Amino acid sequence: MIVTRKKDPETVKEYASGADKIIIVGCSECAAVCRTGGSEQVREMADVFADRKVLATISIESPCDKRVSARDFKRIEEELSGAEALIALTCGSGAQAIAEVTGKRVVAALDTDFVGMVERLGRFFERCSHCGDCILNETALLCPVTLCPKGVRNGPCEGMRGSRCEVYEDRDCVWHTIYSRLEERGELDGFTAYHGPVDWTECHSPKEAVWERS
Amino acid sequence: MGALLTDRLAYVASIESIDATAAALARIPNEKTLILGEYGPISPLAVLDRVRKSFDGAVLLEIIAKNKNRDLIKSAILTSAACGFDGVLLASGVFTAGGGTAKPVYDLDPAQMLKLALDLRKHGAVPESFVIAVRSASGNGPAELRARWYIGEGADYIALEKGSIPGLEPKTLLVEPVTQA
Repeated sequence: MIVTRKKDPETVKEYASGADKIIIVGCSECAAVCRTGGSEQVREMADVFADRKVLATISIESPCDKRVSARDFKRIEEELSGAEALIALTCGSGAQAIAEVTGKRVVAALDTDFVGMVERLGRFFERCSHCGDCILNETALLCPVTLCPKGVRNGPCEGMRGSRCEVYEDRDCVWHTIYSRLEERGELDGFTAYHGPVDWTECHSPKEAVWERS
Repeated sequence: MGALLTDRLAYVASIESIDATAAALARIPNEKTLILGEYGPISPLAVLDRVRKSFDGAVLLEIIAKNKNRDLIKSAILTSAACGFDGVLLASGVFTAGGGTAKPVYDLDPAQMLKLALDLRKHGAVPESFVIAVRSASGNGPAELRARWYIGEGADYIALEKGSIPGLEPKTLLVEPVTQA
């Protein structure tokens, strides 16, 4: 799930300056779970823009999916044609997809933080950095690229204090946890399996996955 | 393989002023090995000539991965050898150094830096006598296993701030910070 944070509403209004006819767009998937772009937050944002004309509010199931966005915007075609700005309570991908689908001025109202694991509502944790070179099967299913602030692929680093991380002193070093898990499984031989540097010829932005037509 | 005559490393983490650093280093006994760190605003490469005027011992450059990608790490190793450093101490680098607002790089970790340095030495890009040491933690299983791996792969030494790793004592250097005025 993509974890987002709300931008300051006044900042959002500034970005939308000069636009009097507004549509508020929410996301009923990730941003709804984060309570940054659900129907309640869409209503709140409409209140923020009460001094302008809110032509419509809409919650799209997956605004980052251009097919879904295009389908849902057809429901408010008339309002869309008159809108001067769309306020996107979505992740960055969603905001950009909305801009591409509508051709309208879009204001991103959220900051996109990370792809997260959901423990329960309000507790989201980053577990994957989508580096494109996964070593989970060799590290007891703990990603050191993400769980180590330095992204050390062959750890621990010299900064470990006892079992603790140099950066987050209240947390165990992920390499200490990897060691413990491998030891429990009797697989400690794998602890020092060498993981080479990431090949950035394959991992840099912007990434694409385009299927070949068969 | 590089070798040092001492297991005590006099460590200058950062160079704020060439004069102040030179003055502090003049008090260090020549039998110690000196390490110049990269945390300050002035590159250690800039002070080596001054240091050599008053210090006859071995001088290592501490290379940290925090601010450099693999190209710059390779350059730092080659440049240090070309400038006359006797070796390098490889480290990941303190995450919060410099205030912590810059984007940390960490393109390579110390194990990957070690492989790079050993490869350069194997192919003659740095002298055979060029010392390659790696900073390590100590006092627990994972740190000790990694330290043994460093030595097994070909590191000349591991460097510790405290403690020891059983069986690796002859290959261990102890880091002792130098106080600057």
